[in-house]
Amino acid sequence: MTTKAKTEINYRWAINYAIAEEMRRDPTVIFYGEDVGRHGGNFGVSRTLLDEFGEERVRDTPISEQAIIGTALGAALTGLRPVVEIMFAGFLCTCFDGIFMKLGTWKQRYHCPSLPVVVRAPMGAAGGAGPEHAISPEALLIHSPGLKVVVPSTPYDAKGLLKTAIRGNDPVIYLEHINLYTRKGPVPSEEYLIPLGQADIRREGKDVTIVTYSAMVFKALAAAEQLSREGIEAEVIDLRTLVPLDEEAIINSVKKTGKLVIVHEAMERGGVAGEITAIVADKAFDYLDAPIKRVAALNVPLPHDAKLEALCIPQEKNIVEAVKSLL
Amino acid sequence: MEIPKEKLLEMYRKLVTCRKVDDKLYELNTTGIFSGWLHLGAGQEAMPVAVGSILRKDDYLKPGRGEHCAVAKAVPLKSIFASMMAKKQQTEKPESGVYAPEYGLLGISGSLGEDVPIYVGAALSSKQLGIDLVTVCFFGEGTANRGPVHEAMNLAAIWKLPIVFICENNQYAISMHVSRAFAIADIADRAAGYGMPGVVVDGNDVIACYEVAYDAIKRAREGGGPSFIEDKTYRLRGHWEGDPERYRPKEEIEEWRKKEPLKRYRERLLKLGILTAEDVERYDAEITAEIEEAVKYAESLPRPSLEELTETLRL
Repeated sequence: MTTKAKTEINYRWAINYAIAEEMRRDPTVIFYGEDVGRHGGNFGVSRTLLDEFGEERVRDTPISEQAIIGTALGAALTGLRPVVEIMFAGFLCTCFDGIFMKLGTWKQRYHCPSLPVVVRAPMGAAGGAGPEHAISPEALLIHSPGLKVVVPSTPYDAKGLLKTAIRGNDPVIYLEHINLYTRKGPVPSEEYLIPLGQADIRREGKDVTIVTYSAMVFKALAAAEQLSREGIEAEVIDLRTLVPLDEEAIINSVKKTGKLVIVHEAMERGGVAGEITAIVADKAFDYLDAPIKRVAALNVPLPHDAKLEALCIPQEKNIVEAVKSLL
Repeated sequence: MEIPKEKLLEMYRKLVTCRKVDDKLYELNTTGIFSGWLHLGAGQEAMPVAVGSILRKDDYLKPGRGEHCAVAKAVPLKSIFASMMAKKQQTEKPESGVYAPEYGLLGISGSLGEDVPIYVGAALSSKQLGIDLVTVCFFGEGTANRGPVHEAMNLAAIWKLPIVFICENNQYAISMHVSRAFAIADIADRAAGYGMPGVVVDGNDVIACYEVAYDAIKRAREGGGPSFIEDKTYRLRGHWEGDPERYRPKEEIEEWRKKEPLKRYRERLLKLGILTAEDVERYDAEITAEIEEAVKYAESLPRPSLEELTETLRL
């Protein structure tokens, strides 16, 4: 099955195509996880892969996250390029030692020439699935010394970033957002890669900088439209990767606008927004005309109910309010 | 099993080297040549030496306690000492007693058992790439109760990977006696639960260890899948240097010292006429000199600068 030339595909297929293309290109790329083979993945991402690549390169595993992650590390040290899936980002907790401490330090402390592991995990509030299924745990991952953390928002970014991650030689945690799987966007049929560590300015503006990533990008853009109708022009920066972080893009924007709002779906306390706040307060202090605002989830386990969950996570109006509070 | 004389002597030399490396590390640590916690392995040399003498150079090997696996796999002694002393190693490929990829050692985890799946990953690789390498994975009986070990063993069994799991039952996980940590008498009984063969062996009998390891490694290499060996042995020193060892009686240690592997093996080879008293002295002197040379070389190496260190540690 070949990748059809399409102009608009959804995020789910963008990820599928990235994996399939890299597996075609390089026979050492293998893919495994729970229900990824015959079932096509819990979110249908890997639907075509078993048929195309067979049971040795696309493997179903038992419910064994620690073994999934550990074997990926070992396989990557010995000639393979494993891409593995953990069914929900919340379940990264079950193999946290393997992710945070092993993948996150092995390459550096042993001076391994290469450790090509990509761990894909879907995160995010998607209708009241409860805290363990909805959590966005990226803040924990950036605090590991050796992990790259990728948080794509669009199909274009999802494909380009995943291909780069698979071709790279460092462990990458690739966090998909569950709500984005059906969102369509333009994706070229020619091959392209997106380097890690490059943010994308989704919307230019002079009055305030909104820094965000993943599904929040779309709420931030909606908020920016509303603000624009009221004469406030917001610049929306989609970070795309958290490690490496595009500090330059953030600081250049703050130098222009003087005001910063950081938005993420993850809980406020200890979230990535705090890290960005510290960087900007240090490196762009003289350019700030107002305090830095964070728009993030309440410090709660997300409820098992869609309506209650929606009250706990940032919405468009929270972003608008935060911007207006600075003006 | 007919073991060639050269192999028997190779194992003797390795056993002596293991014991002397252990002693030397103790000496260097207590005289302040290097700092850090030291977990020595005197008494548990038989199985690692046997395994290291069967495996090919590029077979994968997860080390257990002490430096025995590295010595048995012929990792250069100077790499073992240089890494212990945290020296900047002059080779392009930094090597240590636990990470020496040229010899199949891929590192170990500080939290026990988290590395067992890593070595299952190496076995997955060799099977996937169609190379007939075998992985041998050592862990202690304390570690055998950790979650990742369970997951790793099951995965190795269902994917029929070329790996041998060797549980070194040295009776104690720090202070926890094996009889208090297990509801079964033989850890190898668990193997059947994973669908793989399991065997118990006297871990202080080099020849017995060689025989069971040989079969298991052969099985793995020929596509017969994983298996499990429990070798019953004993840790003669404390869990760490400085351990007051209040958890075990001195009489027990002395009982086990009487049946420790090096003494037994030496006596056996002398009795069989494979070793002579002159050989014993000669090897002793040669190995002592080898170790001295390795230590001198390691001491001569510089330490990395902070810049060099953080550069390699930074993402």
